[in-house]
Amino acid sequence: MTSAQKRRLADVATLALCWGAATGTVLAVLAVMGFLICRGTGTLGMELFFGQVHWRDALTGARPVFDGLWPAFAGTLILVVLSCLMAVPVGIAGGIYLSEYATKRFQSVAGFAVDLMAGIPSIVMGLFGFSMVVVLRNTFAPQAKTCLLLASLCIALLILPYLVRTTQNALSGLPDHLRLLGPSLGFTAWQNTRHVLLPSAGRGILSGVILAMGRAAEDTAVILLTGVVARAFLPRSLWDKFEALPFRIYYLAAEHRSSAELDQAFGTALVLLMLTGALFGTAFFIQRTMEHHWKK
Amino acid sequence: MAFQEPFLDMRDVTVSFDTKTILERINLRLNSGELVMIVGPSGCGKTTLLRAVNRLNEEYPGCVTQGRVRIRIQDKWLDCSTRDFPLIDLRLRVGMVFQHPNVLPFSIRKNLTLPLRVSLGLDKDEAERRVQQALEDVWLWDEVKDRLRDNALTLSGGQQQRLCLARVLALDPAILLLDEPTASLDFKATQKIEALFQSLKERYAILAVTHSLSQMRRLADRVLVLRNGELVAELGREEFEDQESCRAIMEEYF
Repeated sequence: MTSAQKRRLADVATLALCWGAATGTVLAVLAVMGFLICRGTGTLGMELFFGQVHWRDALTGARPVFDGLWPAFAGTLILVVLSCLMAVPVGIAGGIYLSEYATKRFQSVAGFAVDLMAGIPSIVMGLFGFSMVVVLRNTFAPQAKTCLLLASLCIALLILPYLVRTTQNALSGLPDHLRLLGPSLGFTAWQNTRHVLLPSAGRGILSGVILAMGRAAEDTAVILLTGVVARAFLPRSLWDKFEALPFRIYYLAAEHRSSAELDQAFGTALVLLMLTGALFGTAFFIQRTMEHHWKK
Repeated sequence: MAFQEPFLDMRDVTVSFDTKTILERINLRLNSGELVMIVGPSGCGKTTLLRAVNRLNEEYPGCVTQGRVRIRIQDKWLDCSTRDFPLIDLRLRVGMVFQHPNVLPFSIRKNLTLPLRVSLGLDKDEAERRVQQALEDVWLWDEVKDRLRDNALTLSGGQQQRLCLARVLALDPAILLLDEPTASLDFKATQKIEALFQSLKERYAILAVTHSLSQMRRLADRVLVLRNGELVAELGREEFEDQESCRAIMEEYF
C-alpha cells in the first residue's frame, strides 16, 4: 500500500469512526426516549399526577395526593430551584475568580480541588449531609433532621464543581484581543469581566447551568440520605421531608406489584424528562433575554 | 511639516516576560500631529512596544517593565510608569486599535456607548452626541445612522475596524496606538482607513505598527526600525520616500 493510500485509508477510517460514534449516541438517546414514550405515554394524564384528587384541590394543597406524582413533582422542582439558587451564583463567581483573578499556582490547586469534588460519588455527598445532621443533633441543634433544605444544600455542593469549571473554561477560552479590549478602553478588571467577558462567555456558562440542573433533578443517592421519603405529600416548609421524582421512579420500579404500576414508573420518568426539558428551556430563555438586553 | 512639542517620551524602557527580555532600552519621542511607524520582522516586539505605552503588557502575569514613560497633558508632563499612576486615566488618554477588528457582539450604538458610560460615566445625551461625532470622524455616520441598533458584527471588516477606531476617538484621547490596523482588511477598506489616518494625524499623535512597507511610505512622518527588541534605526521621510532606497535600507535591517 502506498503512503497516499494509507493516508486516505486513515482518513476514511477516522471519518467512519466519528460518524459511527455520533450516530450511536443519537440512536441511544432516541432508543431511551422511544422506550419511555412507548411505555409511559399511556399513563400520562390527570390520574398519574393527582390520583383520585381533583387537580384544583391538589394544586392548592386542600387535599393530600396519595397515589399521584404531584408531591414528587413539586418536591423535585423546589429541590432543583433551591439548589440552583445556592450553587449557580457561587459556582459562577468561583469560575470568574479562577479564570480572571487567581494566580497560576492557586488555579492549579483550586482546579484540582474542583475536579476532586466533581469526582465525589453522590452517595458520599448524601452521607456528608446525613453526618451533618448527626453532628447537629449531638451538639447545638438536637431537633435537627433531614429535610428539603439539607437535601438542596447537598445537591448544591454536588453540582457546584460543574458550574465552576464550565464558567472558568468559558471565560479562559475567550481570545486575547477580547480580554485586552476592556482595559484598553479604561475598564477596571471587574468592569471588563462584567461588560465584555461575561456576555461573550454567556452561552458556555449556560451549558454549565443546564448540566447542573440536569444533575440536580436526577440525583437520587444524595436525597436518599438527606430527606426524601416515599410519602410526604407537599412539603409545607424547607424543614420538611419531601418526595422527589427520581426516588418515586426508583421505588415504583423496585416494588411494583403489577405491570400497570411499572408503567407508572415509566410515565413518571417521562414527566421527569419533560420537567428537566422545561427547566433547560427556562434557563435558555433567561440567558437569551439577558443577552438581548446586553446587546441593545 | 512643523510638529508641536512632544506628547510622549519613553526613556530606557525595557520589558520582560518571565525573565525573557522582549524590549531592550527603548528611547522614543512622539510629537503631536505626527504619525510614527514602527517596522521590523515578526516577533521583534512591535506590539509589546505599543502596549508599553498604555501599560497593557501588565495585564499579563510575569511582565516586568523598567524605564520611564511620560505623556504631556495640558502642558504638564505626567510620569505614567510609576506604580500608583492611575491606569484608567492613562488608557483614556492613549487609545488603542488592535490588529483585528474586535467589536463586541452588541449593537453598533452600544459598542460606542458602553465605554463612554462605563469609563467616563457620561449621561445618555452626552454619550449620544459623542457617538455621532466619533462616527462622523471615521466617515461611518452616513453608512450606519439608520441601523445603530443592528449588531456590529453585521458590518464589513473595514467598517468594523472604523467602528473600533470611533470607539477609541469617542473617549477623546491625545495619542493613538495602532497595531497593524489594516492587516486583516482588503485593499479597498485599507485605502479608506489610510485616508482616515491621514486626516486624523492633524489632531492626534499616532504611533502605529505596520508590516507593509508601501503603507509606511504612504503614511509615516518618521519610521523606527525594531529588531530583536531594540530600536536599530530611525528614518526621516526623505530616507524612505524613494522606493528603491527604502527597499535597500529595509533589506539591510530585516
